[in-house]
Parts: sequence; C-alpha cells; structure tokens
Amino acid sequence: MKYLFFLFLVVLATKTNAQPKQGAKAFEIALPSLKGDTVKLSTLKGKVVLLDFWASWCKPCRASNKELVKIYAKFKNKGFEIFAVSLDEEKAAWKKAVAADKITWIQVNDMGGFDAKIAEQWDLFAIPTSFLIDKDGTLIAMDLTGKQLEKALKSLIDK
Amino acid sequence: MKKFIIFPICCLLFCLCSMAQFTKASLQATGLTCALCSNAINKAVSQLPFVESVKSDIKNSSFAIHFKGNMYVEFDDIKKAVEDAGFSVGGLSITGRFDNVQVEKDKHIQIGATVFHFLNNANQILSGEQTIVIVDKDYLSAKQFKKLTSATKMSCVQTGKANADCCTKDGIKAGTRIYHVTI
Repeated sequence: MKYLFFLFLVVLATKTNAQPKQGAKAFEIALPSLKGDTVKLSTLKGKVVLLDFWASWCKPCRASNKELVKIYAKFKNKGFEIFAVSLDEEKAAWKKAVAADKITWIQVNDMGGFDAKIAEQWDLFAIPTSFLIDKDGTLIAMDLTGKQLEKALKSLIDK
Repeated sequence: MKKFIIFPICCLLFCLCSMAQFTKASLQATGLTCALCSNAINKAVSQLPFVESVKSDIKNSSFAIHFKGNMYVEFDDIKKAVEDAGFSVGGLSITGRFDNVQVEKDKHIQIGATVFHFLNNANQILSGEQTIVIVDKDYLSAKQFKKLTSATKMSCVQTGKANADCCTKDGIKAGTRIYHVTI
C-alpha cells in the first residue's frame, strides 16, 4: 500500500512538471496549416523532426528562421522535416512572415499566443523554443543553435 | 634612403603597439531580450490580485493589462512583478475614469487611495476616460528619468515618497507613497 502511495506521488510529481524532457515521447499535435487543413505531428514518424515554436512578432524567432532555411535546404531530402507552430494571433501576420522568411516547411498555427492550448501543453516559457525529435518520436534535444542542430543532424542522418 | 629608415621605425612602433594583451571587455547591448517572447511577464502580472487579464499588444510591443473593478490597484506591485520576472518597466500609462478632477502643476491629488503628483502639465480639469503616465524612478528608461528629474528641484520625484521638504503639503504624511505622473 505504501508503495502505491509512493507511486502516486511520483506520478503527481511528473505531472506537475509538464514540460517534456529529453527521452520523453512527443505529444501529438494536430493544428491547421495556412491552407486550413489539419496537420498532425505523428505523420512524420520515421523522420527526424525539429518542432519549432515561434511567432511573427518574435524577433529572435525570425533570426532563427533565416538559419533554418539553410539547414532545411541541406537536410530536407535526407529525412529531415521542420514542424513549426506559430503562436500568432493574427493569421495575416503569420502568413506574411512565412512568405517574408521564405519558409517552405510545415507551418501550423494555434491562435492565442501564450494562452493557446498548445503553449500550455508544452509549458512554453518563452519563444523561440524548439525540440529535436528522432525517427521514433522521442525528444532528444531542446533549443539547439543553428550550428548545434546541424551537427546533430549530421550524426543522426548522415551517419 | 628615407624610406629605408621610416619603414623599420614603423615596424618597430607597430611591434611595440601590438604587445598589448587585452584581457577583459564589458559589452552593453540592447535588444537582448524580447519581452513579448517571454511568458514570464505575462504570468507574473496576471497573478496580481487586482489584475483581470493580461494580453500581449503586439502592435505596440507592450502588454495590455485590465484591472478588476472595485479593487485597489497598486502600481508598484506591477513594477515588482515585472522586475521579479527578470525584466524592467520601460513605461506604464494608466487609464481611468475621471470625474471633474482639477489638476495643477505640482499639486497633489488623491484619487481613490492613491496620491498623485502631477508634473509639468498645464492646469486643467480631467473628466471622462484619461490616460496618465507614471514617471517615477524605474517606470521609464534611466535616460528619460534623468531628463525629467533635471527639470524639477523636488526631491520627492527621486524617491517617490513624501518627505519633510517636499510633497508633505496638502496634509500628506511624510513617507507616503506618491506617484509622480504626467498627462
């Protein structure tokens, strides 16, 4: 009985500490793209995925987009995909930023900024926040810089 | 011939100069943190008891804070929340309903439980919805604050509190928190 109680405590502790950690499985995300169709994160299983939370008004995110464009071009045909979730509250602003930054990877949006459900689920403290997910859907790294990401992709994909 | 002398001298000078070894530097950069990109301010401010909601106002790169009705609003608590979240206040304007409030330059006015000291504005009557700007220390940039305080001799503008030689007239006790504002 004591063990049961202990187990319950452990479960409780892990539940309150919501932000997914390294080694955890990525939560499913199903959100609308710019065209309006729902895109699911789980459909990318088998690929190495960068899950990137951003918004058009977040300048550091826009700077990171510039680097991602180069990295994406290098690795997209080798089994790498970027799943970007925008927290923009205005669809027009999001659309404009996607075009301006020449983004060709997957873009979905959860309106409502930090109050959006997705922001709560992933316990976003600030953006940009990104997670690197391996072929099995396991989170293997968080907030890598452009160089670190490239290095990680080389070891994961090029081998 | 001259050239042959100048060249070695230049070389020598250059060598001497390049001997210096730099060990330290201090860099101040702005724009390091994107306040709107952080959920910390949002969360900290929305937890204040008198705050109804906090919304990111993207167009003005600011936060729109709505207060609960019939609750005392302590502006210093907003500043504290922002600072505790690791940021600082760059400006705080407050909007309220005024009912024929007569304001005069350097005169104190008590609105609700809060005492305001209006700086640098013409005498006028405020009525209806009005916005005033808090200009106390750490409510605006250091540069703006310096500019503002250099225009007044009153020491209470520096401290934000009534003291013996300043702000105690109009029956205000020394040590009372006084918000210095402009329109």
